[in-house]
Amino acid sequence: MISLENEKLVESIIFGDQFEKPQAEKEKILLDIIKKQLEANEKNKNIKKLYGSNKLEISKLNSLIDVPFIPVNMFKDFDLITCEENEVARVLNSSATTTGNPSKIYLDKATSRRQSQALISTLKSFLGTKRRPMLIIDNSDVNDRSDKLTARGAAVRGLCSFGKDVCYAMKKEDLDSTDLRIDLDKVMEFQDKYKDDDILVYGFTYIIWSKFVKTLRDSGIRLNLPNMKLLHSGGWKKLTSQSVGKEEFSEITAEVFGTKPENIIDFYGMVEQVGVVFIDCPYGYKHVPDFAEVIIRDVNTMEEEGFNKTGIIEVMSILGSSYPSQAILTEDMGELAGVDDCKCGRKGKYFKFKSRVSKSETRGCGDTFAEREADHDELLPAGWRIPE
Amino acid sequence: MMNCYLLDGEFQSNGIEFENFDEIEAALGKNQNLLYCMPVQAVIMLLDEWSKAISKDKSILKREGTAYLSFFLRKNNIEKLIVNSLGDKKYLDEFVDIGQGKFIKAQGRGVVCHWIAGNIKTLAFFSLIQSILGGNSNLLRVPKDNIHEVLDIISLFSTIKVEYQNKWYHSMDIIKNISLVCFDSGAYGLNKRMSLLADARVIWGGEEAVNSINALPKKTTCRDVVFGPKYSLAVMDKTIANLEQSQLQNYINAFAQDVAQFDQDACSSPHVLFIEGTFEKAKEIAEVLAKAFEKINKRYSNIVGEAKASKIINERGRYGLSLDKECYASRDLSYTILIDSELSLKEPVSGRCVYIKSVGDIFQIEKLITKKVQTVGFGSLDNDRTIKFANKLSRRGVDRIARLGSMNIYDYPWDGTFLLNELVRWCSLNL
Repeated sequence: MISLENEKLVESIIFGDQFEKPQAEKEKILLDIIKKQLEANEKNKNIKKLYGSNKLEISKLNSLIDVPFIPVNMFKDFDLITCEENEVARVLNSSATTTGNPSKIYLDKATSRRQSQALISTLKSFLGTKRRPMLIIDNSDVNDRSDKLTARGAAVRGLCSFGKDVCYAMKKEDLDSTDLRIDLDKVMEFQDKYKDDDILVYGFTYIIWSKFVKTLRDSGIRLNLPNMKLLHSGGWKKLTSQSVGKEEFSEITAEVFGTKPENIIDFYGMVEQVGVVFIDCPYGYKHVPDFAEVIIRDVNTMEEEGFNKTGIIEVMSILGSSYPSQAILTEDMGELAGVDDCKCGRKGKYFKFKSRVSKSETRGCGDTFAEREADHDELLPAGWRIPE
Repeated sequence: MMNCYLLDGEFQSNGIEFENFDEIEAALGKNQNLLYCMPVQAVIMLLDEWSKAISKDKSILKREGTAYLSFFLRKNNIEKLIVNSLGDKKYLDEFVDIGQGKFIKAQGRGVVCHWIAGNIKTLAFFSLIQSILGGNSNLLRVPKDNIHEVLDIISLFSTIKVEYQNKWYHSMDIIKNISLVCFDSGAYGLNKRMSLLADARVIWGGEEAVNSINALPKKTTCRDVVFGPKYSLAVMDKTIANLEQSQLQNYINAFAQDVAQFDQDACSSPHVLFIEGTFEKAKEIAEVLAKAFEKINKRYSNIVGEAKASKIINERGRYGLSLDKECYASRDLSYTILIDSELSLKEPVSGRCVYIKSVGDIFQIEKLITKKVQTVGFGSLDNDRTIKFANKLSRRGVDRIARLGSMNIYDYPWDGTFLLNELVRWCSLNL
């Protein structure tokens, strides 16, 4: 629980217009808020232990870079709840792609409300306030009303505030399946109804590419939605492994929708920081809203990197009162591009997402202690066989 | 396509492109006789001069592992290596009478092909030198990132000559029996042809590399020596753990050196330190170790890549948040000490990341030992206990129990093998 005074301050920032505060002013405001939130975080015994081990003296913190961060994977290993358990209204889960163990983000009503409002005030800066017909490249189950929500669901729910007459473009292959296919009748009906209107399309990058764009393209179908804006996020790792770059994605997707590539807009966000999204401005940079902060940390010194140097992205936010959202170190790499002076006019830091943290390293002869029977067939090239 | 950087005594800093091994095979075959004509004592003297050349070259000596390589090449060390491996250096030059009309001689196997791992830049030399002593010519596949460092060191050996029994011997005659190549690890055709050339294969590497090379076709007479993936750890018993801090610091400094060398990526690099004592004792030792790392960091900074940094950050997070564990770490990633009381080994993180585990009795760790544990660095003031401990651990699979501070010293036997002995054929003569 954060103090009433602090909460009011947080809400005034969230409800205000974003990207207005010059960096120095913003840092000072955020630091004061975050210090109070860190005190509240100590309700969680694991976090209290972490702060104690780090010999953290919250009152003496005088810079955002000194705020102790939580590595993003810790949400998989620990229940990092900083409110009373009976106040948890919803648990957000990540997709558990790499470890098989999903992140668990506990949300109380206040956090959930702040996240929704934060998303709205951020998107307002890019989309305006008008509600538009909305096409979601997913199936309707993604936004069901259960108390567990995925990252995809959380994003869809937030974006629906900007949409009306929401149409889900995908359906499940069958009831028990997780495989999605295009509900072409519904998509065509949506197109016929709104082809001349400003419309909003949202989807997960990988689903848009693999299940929607490629399918329509292979079938020779081209939509006619010239006034659409498509927001997409997530799943770049899978696309990169298929050698699909951002430019190629935007061009081909725009072609399939019958629009211009500049209407295909990437945004960066994560389930551990719902409500904090970084949307590409017309100059290709991601901007940090006033209620959040980004620190690009050098891989070795962990200090803040200078401009145009690649480092690990840390995302800070003042939205959370039920989990430690204040400083989360991601597994993504980015570059700080500038502060307060982007040509688009937005204040604060702006940066570029570069890649996921590389997991490959030279191992050599130092290795695991575990005895393992290697599956030789996996290691051999095709046709490489020991004769009988 | 491959690049050859050393062929027939010619150094090629940019590499000559070859599609196959025909020229290399021809050169090695032609030059083998130069080795047969060289008495082992002349080889030892040449290697000793090489040792001096390395120790005089400050730019080479600054590189990790080269100071030890210089020591390794010294006459005394090489003679000891031969005696430990073969019994007597005479076997390398002549049929030696072993009684009852029987004579034996250690002959070279022919062409030894070495697949060198990338984690230690001087690794190539430890198998190459023993192969040369055995009278073999050598083809080495060296990782591209290391090739110029290897070439620089060999080039210091190129103009040496020694006089032995009124005859001059030249290092170039040895160099003509070494060829260095680089090619993609996934190039099955080149790996296969290299394997088929070999009279002995020396394989240094991780599991995937070892399994892939093992599965290549080879001559039925080929001898394989595999230095595969291994894991190492360290132990301090209560006689060390309970020392006064000033005395303890020496042992901890030695252990910190073991950790820091070769970026903690060697098979002999320790990842876990077991302390005989309480969790509180482990915390005390962690503080001493932190000081040791800080001292090392002033001379040798710890640079890690993204993947390692990510592992370290996650482990710091886990130990920092866990109620029954502790984390002592630098603000940057220069060192990380993780403390718990679980009786288990931990997967290597490297990058000066060490787990300290408190145990009631050091003999408890016996059950953790697998055949993949290579080196156990051991600190104890009780020699009887050390020998008992060594007996138990080596029976379970450990190859080396080494003094703290000497875990990474390439020793013989290594990985349970006297390599020189593997690289000769023992031939007999009955008169």
